[in-house]
Amino acid sequence: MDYKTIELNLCQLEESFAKSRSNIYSDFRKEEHFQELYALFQKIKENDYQKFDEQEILNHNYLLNVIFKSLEYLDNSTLNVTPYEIISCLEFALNDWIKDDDFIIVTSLSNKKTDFYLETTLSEESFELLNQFINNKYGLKISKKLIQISLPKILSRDYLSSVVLYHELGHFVDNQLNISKKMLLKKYSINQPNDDETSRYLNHTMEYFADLFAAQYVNNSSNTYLGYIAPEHPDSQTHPATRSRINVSLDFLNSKSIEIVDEFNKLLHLSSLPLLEIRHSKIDISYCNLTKLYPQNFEDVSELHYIFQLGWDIWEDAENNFLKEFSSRQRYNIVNNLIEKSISNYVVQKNWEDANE
Amino acid sequence: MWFRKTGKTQMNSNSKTGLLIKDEILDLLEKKELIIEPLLEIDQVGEITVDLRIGTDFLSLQQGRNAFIDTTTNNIKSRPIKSHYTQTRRKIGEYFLFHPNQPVLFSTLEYLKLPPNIYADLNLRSSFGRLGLGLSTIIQPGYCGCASVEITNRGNTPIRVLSGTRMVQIRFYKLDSNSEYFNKVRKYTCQVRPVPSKANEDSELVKLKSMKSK
Amino acid sequence: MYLAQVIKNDDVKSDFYINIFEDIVKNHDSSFKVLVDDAILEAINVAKGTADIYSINNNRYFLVTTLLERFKFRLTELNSSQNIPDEVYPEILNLLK
Repeated sequence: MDYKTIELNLCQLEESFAKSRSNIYSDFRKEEHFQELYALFQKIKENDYQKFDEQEILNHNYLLNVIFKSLEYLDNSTLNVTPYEIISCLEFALNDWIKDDDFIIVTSLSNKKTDFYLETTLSEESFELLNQFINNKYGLKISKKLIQISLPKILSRDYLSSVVLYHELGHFVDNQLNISKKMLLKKYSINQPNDDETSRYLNHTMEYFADLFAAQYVNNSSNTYLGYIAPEHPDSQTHPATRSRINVSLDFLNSKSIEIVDEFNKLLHLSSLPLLEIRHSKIDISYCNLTKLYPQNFEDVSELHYIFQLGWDIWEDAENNFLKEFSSRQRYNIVNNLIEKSISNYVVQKNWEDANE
Repeated sequence: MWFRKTGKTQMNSNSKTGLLIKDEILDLLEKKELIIEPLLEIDQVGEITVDLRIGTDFLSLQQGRNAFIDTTTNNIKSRPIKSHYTQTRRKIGEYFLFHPNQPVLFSTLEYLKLPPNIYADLNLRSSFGRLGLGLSTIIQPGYCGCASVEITNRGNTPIRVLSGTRMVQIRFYKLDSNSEYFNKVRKYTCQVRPVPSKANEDSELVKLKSMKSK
Repeated sequence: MYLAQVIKNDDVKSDFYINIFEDIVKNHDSSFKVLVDDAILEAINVAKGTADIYSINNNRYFLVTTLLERFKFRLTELNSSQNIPDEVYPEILNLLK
């Protein structure tokens, strides 16, 4: 890699900024973030990068890639069909684990049916390192980190499958807080997997954590969906068998003592982090508003998370319950609409009360 | 207390049918026979109307590459009517622009569920009617969902409004008998976002077309 | 996929730490020395068993765990209650390079 790499990146970024500058952000923090990225880009451009040594080229190449990635996220986040409802639920859950006002959540809709994920441009450590570097070199600072939440375009209003995002949020939290990696380090004294066995161990640990993370909030509904899309999948290099994933979550939900949950909680305790525990409150289906065809009211956020389990319970029993006279398409739409409006009403009501204070 | 009656308005006990007054509306809300949620402020309930707010979802009719909207055909080869609309969402407190002569569909923020013996009509609050906006919608007894409202700016100046603004008024009318909303197949049950026209899904279209050759 | 992964995060962290260690080796009172010393002390404590792996701070996770994986023997020779000897920094710099 030499200075021409930097030059090429700068030329491409110039194009990227030319397009992104016309974006209109409803969130002023995104506009500020954009301006910070642009200021950094200008400083690098004005610098005599032809004289950079090898290390400076590597560092600047990384910086330019971070700017590219951030613009990519920002471009997607001007989305005019943002699924606020599911994002609100995820924000409530994220707030239990990472109280970080430095995050800006951006959303993108993918054409792929399985594209559920959360991704960030920077880990906490990288964010600090990057800021130290640019502050030293250019006297600048990037004040926010972006989290991109991606979900499939066709499923952006499918609240039954949205439970996957709680699992993905679990991966994100795990990754940010190095939970599974610490377990790998403890067991194998390595900080990255180096063979099939260690790679399998890390992957499986990550999947169990994400499953348990989701179960805290959405009860068993993440596993219910798993049962539809990956029934009886055997153990693989990347994932534990579906059956054992479901069993671990069920044992956790039934408050049975399980080795992996105990180990996670030991780690979380020593890391001064919240423990894996039930973070939802059950709503009795026989008294819920959904069965009377209007949105559910929630006492608090722990009931809010339970709406997904409630939705699954109603949809799975639709042939026998109040939905039985409706067509299958209507049943699916009614459940999704009522979940969406239940979440939306809770958030609007809460924001309204906050605005009154 | 959300549903405390005022006592100022005398209940019209002789009138079993007709326009509902404030205490009757509050009474139904309290008994959960009438659902309007979220009702952010109790003063949305007026003497004979309830103010409803603009929701967060909008469908704007756009001039596309097709010369016209075809309401006569509904098959996989024809362009669906919804493709003539642009969908957009706003958070409460963000603004939306009504351009002149552009029909816009939006849902009320409030989810409604009407008893089987009450229908409702929707009108603009006069402050917005005076700006050249127009609407008129009827809601069937037993309806459940957000009200889907169609508004066109008939003036020549774009109008900016905030999502969440009280823009619509609803009046409730009591009938002397129940009407069973689900007696026929309903396409719009529990809708929470505006739904584009389904004019091309009318079951009589096939019949009408067949009459041409007779 | 044209590329497997554009940015390898750990390589990047390593690159930034190389900068910091180079700075410390050149100018002994670098502004980053406190941060790095904290990480080395944490690694010493974990290596000697006086702190648990699970308690490693996430802000310097990569550096601490890299030291634990590739510098553990040397860490056990160091004393966490004293200042980090000057010769340790170039040793770690070489390790990162």
